[in-house]
Amino acid sequence: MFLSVKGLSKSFGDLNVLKNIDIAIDEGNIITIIGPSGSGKTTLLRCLNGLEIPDQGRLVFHDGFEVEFGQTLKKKQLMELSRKSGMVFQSYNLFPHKSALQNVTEGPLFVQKRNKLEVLQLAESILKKVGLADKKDLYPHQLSGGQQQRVGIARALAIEPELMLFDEPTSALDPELVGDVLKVMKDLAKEGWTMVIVTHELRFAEEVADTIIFMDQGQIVEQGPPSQVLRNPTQERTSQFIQRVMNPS
Amino acid sequence: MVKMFLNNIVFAITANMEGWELFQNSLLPMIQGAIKYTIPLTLVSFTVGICLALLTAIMRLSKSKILTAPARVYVSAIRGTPLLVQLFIVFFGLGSIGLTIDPFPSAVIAFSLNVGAYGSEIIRASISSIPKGQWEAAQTIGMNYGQALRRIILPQAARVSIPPLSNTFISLVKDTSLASLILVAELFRKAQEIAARTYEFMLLYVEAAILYWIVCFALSIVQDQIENRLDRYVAR
Ligand SMILES: Nc1ncnc2c1ncn2[C@@H]1O[C@H](COP(=O)(O)OP(=O)(O)O)[C@@H](O)[C@H]1O
Ligand SMILES: [Mg+2]
Repeated sequence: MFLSVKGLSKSFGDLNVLKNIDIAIDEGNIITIIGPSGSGKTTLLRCLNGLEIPDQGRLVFHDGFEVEFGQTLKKKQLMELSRKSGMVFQSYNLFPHKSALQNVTEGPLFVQKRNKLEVLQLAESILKKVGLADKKDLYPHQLSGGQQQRVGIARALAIEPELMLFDEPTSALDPELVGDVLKVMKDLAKEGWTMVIVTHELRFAEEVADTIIFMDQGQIVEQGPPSQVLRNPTQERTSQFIQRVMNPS
Repeated sequence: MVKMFLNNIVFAITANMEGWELFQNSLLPMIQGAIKYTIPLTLVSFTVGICLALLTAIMRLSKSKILTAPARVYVSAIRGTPLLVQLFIVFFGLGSIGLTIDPFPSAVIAFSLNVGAYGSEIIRASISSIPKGQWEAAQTIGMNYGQALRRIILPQAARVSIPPLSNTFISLVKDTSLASLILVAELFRKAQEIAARTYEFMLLYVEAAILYWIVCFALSIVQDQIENRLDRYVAR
């Protein structure tokens, strides 16, 4: 198993946002998380890389690295946790004062202190992979939303994480730009990346996901392969949600 | 435009040849005062003050009370008391209890403390104005607090804080005239000395005003250029 998430719980004040979440992720698995707004999807994703610290629970990685929440954590442990995954944000969060290329090289060059030539080669090849080789010197404000999000993906890939996390990567995009971003994610799936993706794009989820997790009110209501969760949901809440997303009115 | 306006003022107060001569003769000592004291005092105080401001801003943004409390008291005390009083405390006050500091360093201390307090509020506000997502993005590429602050947050905060900090700088140029009261031989002190000798108060004080104005006008042009440069990455 690549990552096992055990008994993750998180509250904001009185609000129980995550209730005892268990997930098993195998190497190369694509997990997509769906569910209504406010159900805790973003919080769950953020707990996986330490942007949010759960109140309880445990993360166990394939290499034996383990984080037990609910006790004081060492800075080093948190650094290593965030080092494991690359994060793609709904609102891109690109560095506006840096060019596309600089956004991508910032992590490997200044944090990981890797060789400059090597990093430049890596960054150019990643930008090429996301279809932005010719845009490397442009600043975020000169790029379309879809291009910015692809730089966001490239920036996350550049730290060479073991796991990629996506939080509704296409939700802020104009419909005609969604396809380019999904295409890049499909390519990553084909390359064998392990990914956890929060999305409302059910067709995309059906196509790439090994497991779909439906969340509601901080709990996993149902999980399984797309054929089951999307086509033959066992839970009433799941089918209602899928109905609503498929036929919005 | 400006040159014409200045010429008019000069004519008005130098209607007679004697006045014009005094105007010219006093120009040199005043410019010397500016070059030897006003400008160094401004530059040194501003540089030290900005370092102090940055430190204070970071202390105030920390989660630890041990850091925020002294920063709060410092800012409140400086903002709540007149600059002239601060200047007198450093020079005459400390001097009277045996801690004599020369006029120029006294002025540097008082003005630095002043810039530090006002500047820290500007820097703190500009750091707070940077969206939380920038900190988080920095964290996800492995940065710690210091790296994120230095490479991601401060460059963006600088853009936001440059207009108000330029105003602080320009105010400082003018405030240095207060140092004349603790015997720093800066521009305005020179004007006072010559005026006391010649009784030409109007002429000399207007002349001093014009000199301050020229310096501040030049600075505002520099300010515009810096802002334009920094606009590079901002959508227009
Ligand atoms: N930092 C926070 N402080 C307080 N409440 C939060 C915070 N982040 C999220 N929440 C709340 O937690 C719940 C789940 O949020 P979120 O994980 O963003 O859900 P989703 O991504 O599924 O829409 C929401 O009710 C939200 O208001
Ligand atoms: Mg969300």
